[in-house]
Amino acid sequence: MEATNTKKLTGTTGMKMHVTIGDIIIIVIIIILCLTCILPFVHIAAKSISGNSAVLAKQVTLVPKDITLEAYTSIFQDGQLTHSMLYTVLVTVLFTAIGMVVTTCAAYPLSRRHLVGRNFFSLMILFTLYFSAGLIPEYLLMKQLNLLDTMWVLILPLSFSPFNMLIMKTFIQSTIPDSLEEAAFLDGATHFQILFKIVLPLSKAIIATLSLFYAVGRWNAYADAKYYINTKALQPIQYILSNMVLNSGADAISLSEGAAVESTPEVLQAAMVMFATLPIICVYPFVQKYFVKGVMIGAVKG
Amino acid sequence: MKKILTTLLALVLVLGMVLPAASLAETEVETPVGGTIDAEPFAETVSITIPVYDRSKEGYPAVDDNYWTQWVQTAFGDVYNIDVQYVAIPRGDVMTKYSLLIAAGDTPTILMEYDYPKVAQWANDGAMQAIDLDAFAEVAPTYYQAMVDNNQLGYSQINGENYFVLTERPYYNTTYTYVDVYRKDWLDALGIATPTNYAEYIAALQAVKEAGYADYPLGLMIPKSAYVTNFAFRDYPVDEAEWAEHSSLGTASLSWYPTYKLLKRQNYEYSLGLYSPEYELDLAEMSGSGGASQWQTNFINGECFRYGGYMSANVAWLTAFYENNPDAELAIVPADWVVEEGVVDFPQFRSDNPFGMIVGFSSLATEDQLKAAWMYLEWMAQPETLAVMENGIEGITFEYDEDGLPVVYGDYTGEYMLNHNMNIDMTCCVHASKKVGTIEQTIAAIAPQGLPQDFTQALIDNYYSLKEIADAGHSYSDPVFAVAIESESEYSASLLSLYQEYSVQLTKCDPAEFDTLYAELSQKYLDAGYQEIIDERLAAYEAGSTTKLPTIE
Repeated sequence: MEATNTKKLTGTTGMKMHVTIGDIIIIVIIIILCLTCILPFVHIAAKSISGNSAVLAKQVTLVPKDITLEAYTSIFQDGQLTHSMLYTVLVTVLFTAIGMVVTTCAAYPLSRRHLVGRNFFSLMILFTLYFSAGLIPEYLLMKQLNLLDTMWVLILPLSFSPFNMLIMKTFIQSTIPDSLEEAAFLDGATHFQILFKIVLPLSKAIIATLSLFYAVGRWNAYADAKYYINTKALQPIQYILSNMVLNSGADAISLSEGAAVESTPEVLQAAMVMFATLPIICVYPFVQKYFVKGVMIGAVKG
Repeated sequence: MKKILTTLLALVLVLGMVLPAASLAETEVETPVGGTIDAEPFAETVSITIPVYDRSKEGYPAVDDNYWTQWVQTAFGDVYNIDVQYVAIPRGDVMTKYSLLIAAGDTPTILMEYDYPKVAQWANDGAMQAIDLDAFAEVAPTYYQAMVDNNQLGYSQINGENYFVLTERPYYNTTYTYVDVYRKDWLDALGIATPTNYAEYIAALQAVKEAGYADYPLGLMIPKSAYVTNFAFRDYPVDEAEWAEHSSLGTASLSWYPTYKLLKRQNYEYSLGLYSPEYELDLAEMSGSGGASQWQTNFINGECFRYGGYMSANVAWLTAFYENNPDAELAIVPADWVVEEGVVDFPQFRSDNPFGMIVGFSSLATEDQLKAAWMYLEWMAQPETLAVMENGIEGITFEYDEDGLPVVYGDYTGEYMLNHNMNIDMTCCVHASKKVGTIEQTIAAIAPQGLPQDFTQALIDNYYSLKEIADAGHSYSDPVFAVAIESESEYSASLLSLYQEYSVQLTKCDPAEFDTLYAELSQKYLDAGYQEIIDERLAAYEAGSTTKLPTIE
């Protein structure tokens, strides 16, 4: 069946390809959607390797002009930025690892039917998905916990995501039958043995997917750093990037300081965006094969 | 393959951590010596926190932990038993950061800002403590004397109590660092002499347009801030009460007659086709994206007659302009182009505030911390300290020129590198800019470098022409209020949006309908909150809670 489909699509057997107007519309929409994601990225990439004068003159759209790698050289020579990049990698790895541990520890028991108070605990967790205390109570809580201005304030508060936990719980419920667990019990397995030897090996798809969710979420977040971090050395790369771009609207600042405030050149901003984006993009290919499967199963069969 | 990749990645990470450290390992140099102050060390260590702007610029060391913050600890802190900590304040988001620090009870010992309303708000909110200026003068005599010499004591009070000490702003009454430039080569090619008044200027612009040099010789943008450049359109001397009501960087004065005149002129220029009909769509600089405005791009591409900006050794748009127009010749726009009998009789402009940073002290600071902060300011104000902070180490970060003036190496990037603009964000608690000998030498230091044209002499001439205007009393700043204007905090943001909308409508409307439309929009603007603001300002002025216009000699 699959072979026949392939032949039809490729048309190698001489059969007429059957393309309807609907297909064309869908393809056009998909192409437009893809371009809305890809073109800005290509534009930024082109700017990042162009000369600053060409960028200021708006002569760069998708093709770089006066190609130079100066901006990247500046970034790699900047000890603060390279430090921040490595630090952000460390925070993201720790965040993802801790996030997956706590998510699994919550999702597995809550997926078991015989857990007493299962619905109550699920509801309590679900409640936090919709309601939060708000910025100021959270800030005061971090202060009371002595987490302000430490690396852990970027890791611990967000490391448990109720949404991700629900996806994982649904996945386990729908893909791992109770009978498998019961069989393991009869063979004398403990809860931890069941978790590590049966449930987790069968949940690779969802683990990969949620790890990506956690990693991307942490990598792109900077608002918490803005509120909680004072020390430069503890600032993640995205926060530095955000400051760099914000400070570039320098006219108001120049007016109050009464002097030229040189903003970061656009080329360098573009290179910085690429620098901060590429590492997380590199993760995608490794989890791609699990990604679609994990999301589909967790979402649809629930 | 996997193993090789893993090993390579590990190697890159390790090298990434080791190499920057290795490059920092320079030859040890002798620690520079700063100034000394007349004070005894504390018996027990006192901790103070000093805010420092974080501009997140590439290539600079961390603002809160670098050689110079450590040097302050060694040369000042260790001597007087004071632990000096720095806290980074994002330059683009000052108020949020301060609010968080204040809310968490971590208010820095010193709070400082360039904008008076911000510090007034902190004082009103109880984040600052009132200070005894006599006690301050005892601990920080050099600093206090500079305030007296610069006639700044009148700005230290709010709500009847002393809260602030002020820093010096050299040459504040001339805005010589900001210039507009125009295409002199176009006028030369058309055989037009440099205009000397508004009518000649408009005729020149029309000639430029007709000759096909530029479709729209002038550029315009939606106002990005509430600052309305209407000083030239004001009566002279301006009525002091009106000045207190309307002259402000906080809220645009749409309903004031100078703004009417300014917008009417803008409308006239628009009707002549001097501005692009799509100018209001140019939102580049408003979104904070850092992108160039269309006006700037047009100028760089040789499609616009004039453009302006702050001068420094490296002005990106001027560099880009000459790369695109290597044979072009620019000149600085003279002040008299605005002059039109009955409308603008002579040039006037806004001078800067007669102070730089406004410095206050945390309400949480203990007596010892307050004294330590004052000692810090006094120590920083010593010429020996400033010389080290702003130049660094001789032979490494700077050298003396033939006149004996220090010249900082622009390309030095090692361990002893000075932070943004020669450590200005650390020395700004003393003065707003580094003082380099005479005004000619100061201007030479900010003249754009590496261009086909040298602007140094033109900038010096421009300074003296501005000084002449200032000396005649035609340059002054806005009033400073010693009480908080509550309605301004409430309405200023929404009024800015309205001003942006209305100013576009008034610029683009039919000139015959201008007056009717202005009357209508001005009334709407007053009703939207501006009336409340001017009433409150007037009440503060009548109660004696504002500064006065400078006396005309």
